[in-house]
Amino acid sequence: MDFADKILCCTRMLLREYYRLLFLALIFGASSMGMANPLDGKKLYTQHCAECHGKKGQGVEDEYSKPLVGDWPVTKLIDYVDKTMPDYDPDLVKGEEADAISRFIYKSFYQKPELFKKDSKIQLARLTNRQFRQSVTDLFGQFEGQPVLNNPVQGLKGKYYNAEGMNKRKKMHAEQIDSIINFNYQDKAALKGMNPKKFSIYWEGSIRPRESGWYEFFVKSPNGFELSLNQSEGGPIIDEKVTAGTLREESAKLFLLGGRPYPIRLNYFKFDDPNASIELSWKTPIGEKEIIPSEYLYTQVVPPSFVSQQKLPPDDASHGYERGILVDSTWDEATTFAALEASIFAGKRMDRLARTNEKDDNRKPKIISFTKQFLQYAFREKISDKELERYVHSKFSDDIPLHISVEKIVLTALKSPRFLYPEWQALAKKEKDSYVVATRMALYFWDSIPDRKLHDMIDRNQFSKKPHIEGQARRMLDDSRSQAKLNDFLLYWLDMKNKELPSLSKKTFPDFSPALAMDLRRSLLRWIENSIWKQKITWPQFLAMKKMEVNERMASFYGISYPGDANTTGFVEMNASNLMRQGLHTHPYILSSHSYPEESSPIHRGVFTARKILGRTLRPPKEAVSFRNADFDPSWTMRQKVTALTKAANCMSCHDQINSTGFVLEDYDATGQKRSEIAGLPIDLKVNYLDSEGIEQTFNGSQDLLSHALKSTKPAKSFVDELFKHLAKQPVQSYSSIDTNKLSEMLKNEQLSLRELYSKLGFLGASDGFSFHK
Amino acid sequence: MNFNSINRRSALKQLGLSSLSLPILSQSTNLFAEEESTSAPKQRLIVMFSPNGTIPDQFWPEKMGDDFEHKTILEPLEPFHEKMLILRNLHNKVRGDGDNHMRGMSCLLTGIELFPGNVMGGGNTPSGWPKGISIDREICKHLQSKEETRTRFGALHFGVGVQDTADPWTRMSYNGPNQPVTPLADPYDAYRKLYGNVREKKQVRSILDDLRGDLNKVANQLPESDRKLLIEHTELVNRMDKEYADGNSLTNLVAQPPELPEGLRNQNDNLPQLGRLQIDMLINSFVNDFARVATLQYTKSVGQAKMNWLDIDDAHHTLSHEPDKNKDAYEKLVRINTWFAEELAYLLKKLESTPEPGQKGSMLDHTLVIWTNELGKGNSHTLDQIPFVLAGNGFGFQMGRSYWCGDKNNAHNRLLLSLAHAVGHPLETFGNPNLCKGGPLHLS
Repeated sequence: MDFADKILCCTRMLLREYYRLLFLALIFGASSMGMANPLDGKKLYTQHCAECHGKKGQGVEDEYSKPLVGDWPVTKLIDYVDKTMPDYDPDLVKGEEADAISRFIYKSFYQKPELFKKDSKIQLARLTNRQFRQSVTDLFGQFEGQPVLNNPVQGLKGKYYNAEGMNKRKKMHAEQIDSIINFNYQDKAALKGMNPKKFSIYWEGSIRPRESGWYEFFVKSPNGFELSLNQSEGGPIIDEKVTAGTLREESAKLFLLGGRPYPIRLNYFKFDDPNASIELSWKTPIGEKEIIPSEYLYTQVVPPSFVSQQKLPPDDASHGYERGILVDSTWDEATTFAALEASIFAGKRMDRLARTNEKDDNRKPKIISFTKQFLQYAFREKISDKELERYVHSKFSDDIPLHISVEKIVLTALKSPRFLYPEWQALAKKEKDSYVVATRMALYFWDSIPDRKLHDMIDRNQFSKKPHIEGQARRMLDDSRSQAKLNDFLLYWLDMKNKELPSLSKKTFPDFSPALAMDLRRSLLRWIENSIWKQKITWPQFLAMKKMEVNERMASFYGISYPGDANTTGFVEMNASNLMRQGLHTHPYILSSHSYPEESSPIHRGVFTARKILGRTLRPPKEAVSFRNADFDPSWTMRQKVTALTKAANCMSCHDQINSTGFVLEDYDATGQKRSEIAGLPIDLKVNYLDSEGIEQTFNGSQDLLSHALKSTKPAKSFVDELFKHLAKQPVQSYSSIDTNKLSEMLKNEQLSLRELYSKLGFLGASDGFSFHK
Repeated sequence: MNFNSINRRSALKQLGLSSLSLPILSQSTNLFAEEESTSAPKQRLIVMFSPNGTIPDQFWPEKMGDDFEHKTILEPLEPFHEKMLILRNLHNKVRGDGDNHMRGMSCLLTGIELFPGNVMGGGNTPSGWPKGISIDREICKHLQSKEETRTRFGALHFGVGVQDTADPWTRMSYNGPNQPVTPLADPYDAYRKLYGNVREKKQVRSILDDLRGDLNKVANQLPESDRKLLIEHTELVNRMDKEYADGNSLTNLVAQPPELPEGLRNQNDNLPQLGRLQIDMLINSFVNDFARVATLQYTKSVGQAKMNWLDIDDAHHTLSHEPDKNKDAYEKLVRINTWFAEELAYLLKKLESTPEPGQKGSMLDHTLVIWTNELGKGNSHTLDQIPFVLAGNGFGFQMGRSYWCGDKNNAHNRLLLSLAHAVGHPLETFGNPNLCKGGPLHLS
């Protein structure tokens, strides 16, 4: 809670208050003003504070509009009121009065945010962009098959041929797995024993990007090449078969959903050209162009998926999570286009989707049946015969080509509110039924639609008892879409989502390359995926980060020895202590992404650790003050500079916390490299930190901060709340059956792994208000 | 051919992605202004291509001069006798890398060698793309360089049954060395490029009543407090409905676009309808002065269309390899080539019956149509005696005759040069300079 950031000091109000007080003072005399004994906090509050903060702390429009709630201990509140309140005249409330007012605030509402929840029920919302894309892809996936990597082997399978004449596959020479595609054969053959003049190579497999977004793919070669990605039979996305032997690089851009595999095929032809080489690279949504690392490539070929290529306007994220609470014409037109794109795809692909062909006597009935199923999946419930007549049968007639009917039905389905507002049934139905639960499970676990399995379970009446639903929750947790969604949340939680790579001064840190920055990012995300999903770690283990993924470039930069026995990805798991790390907040990516180009940034680091590692509430400053290095004596340390910059009382209300949680990390430089001195002087790491209980802690480095975080329930509670909002796109208070205090305790006490927490929140949120059958 | 393929990139292109309202008329002042009658006569060029050689003895007239006869293949063109110019004894003399089909196609309008490369054909050495620009693009560039002849697109390239591959057999227009130009093979793509997303708008509007019904129904089941979003959504639907209904900037066109049938798939059996659609759009784009140059490419060199509509089940290129003594194949190939002539006749008739906007005469009076082929004869793969049938008066050539271009060294580059000269672009050479000896043909 931060008074300073909201209290406005506008002249109009200042004058008004001044005259009012002057008037009061004249009438009653100074002695009558709040000198009652014992001091009446409520009365004093009404007198000095209510005008701006409301009688019950609810806030006042145009003054201080937010409720007075927060997590400061009362001692800090008193100190703050004493020094800064009321903001038009901080000298007006002092000493015992400040004490009485603060205690009243603290006791009456400051710790009770629930008092101010205007509407604790679930709000109708449209699908967010992520939900929309996932749902549309999975709708088609119900018919085309969900691509799954069963036995992942990293790399692409390469088939090497000798070529002759028009026959590019005259004779297979060898088959092997290539972990990356980056070869320079010069004038030699690709493999020994092949004809160096004429050969061809066909690489195939899958690619699984980690994050959703726009990917640009590049192929560079003087020879002939074709790249197909996520296509079954169509022309390649890059077609450069024809060449005169000059080096070319071609690219193509695609939107891909993270965490899903897509088929990839690269055909390569050398035919009498003087030189031979080939590179396959990409530019990920966040990152620099690079040869596609083997950790994204798999030898198994999966079926293609439909992924909408439509650009969608960003969702509202003002509350720290994406919500579909606004509809406007940009959104309407973008989703209309996305629906059109999907409908055209469905029309083209209908025979395959309906498992029929042009010669099939039952083609039409099969296609009608496909559209019915499609509609049912899109609407997430059973559809009555009457509705089917309207939505489906009326669209077919002998004078309309079949694919046009299919297009219309798919377009109708994807534009319908029954698809776009997934929670509408929950709000409309007095008694929540199995469809409501299934809809929510799919939304909360996957951001998607209930799959065929869930529909089948409901049809067989096996989705009403608690064990049934819990069983499905377990299945859904193991699906890679859950992992992708948790990843998406953690990117946000770690301040990484849509954030550019840390970019440090080349002059000061010449070896901190963009490639290293990408390695660091990957190192963190790889560890998260492995530890949460494979090792099933708990919250304390997550915060403590005892292990780290390291590759050769990282090892060399951070000056540690790199064991040679890495797998093809180049990463090995090492003890984090080898790199002198003490917890998640000391991962070099976190540190370098919270730095200035030339210096560490105690403020950015402090905000991150205060909010995420310690679970504290911070509001953005009312007035942004930017840090300019040139304003300070160059011989000062960052600690000295930041201390000077934030010394004003208004700043200190939050910065006492932020600075302390940032200064403890000063023994890591902007690159996240451990250091023992700054400009030849020892580093002052010691800070005092006032916890939310009002107890002053002394930290002497990041380990102390971590130990404190592990003892407190607060960080866990904050994590649970945040995670739930991301899963359900609704605040947890709207669900009666979820006790976040209890869950946070369990999390802290290692009674739940993070994976289980995800599952539990998804399950509890989805089944909230549902009466399980006995 | 893979017409049912999923190709999301092309799906995207089809959608036009970003917005429904294409800025169609941004450069269109010349569209609706009546042109001054004093302005220079418009000149338009259309190159129509059909593949796999012709059947010479059913194609070439025996007689030279104005009373040439129309043999079977050219019979459909009889009504245009006075406006035709048949050029005999022109040869594609470009040699070097690539097989005859490749050079036949990719050197037809470029007149220059192919780069050595990695595409191996049925003979000769492998090759890449040609080393220079094609004459249609050269003329387009010339016209676009001057304000009075500049148009929205300059040139349009229509394909009929052209496969989704890029190689020297499939491309005939080039914007420069190594720069193939991809024809618009799907009329719906062409339609979108020319007129915007009219079809999509129609499709969307056709479901809006259902959608309003749905919104209403869902809103009615919700508690009052939750209806706000849906009411806003309904307003958006009404707005879209209105926008798509009257936001049609096509009302400003000189001629409304042709009616596009719903759901015509881009596949072999539909080639006749697809071709007619493309021709209709080509004419319409000329009327609206979107372009002065166009190509119309039927399949490709080595094209394998199966002309079921002519009761021919065999693939075209395979048939073309049959020896002359195979009477069945011979007869089918005559029918195939006659069919192409009928399509040309349809194009000419349309041009003839369309008045040239703002100027005297018909559009055919302002257009030169060239029907050509990559080979002289299919089963010999010869690049000699390339069929060149010209029609229309747009280039000031003396029409109504069959013309023997001379006995020596008649590289077809000379024809390409004549085309440039006829539009006031007096190039000294075009393509390989050595093949330009004798300069442009004297056709006027």
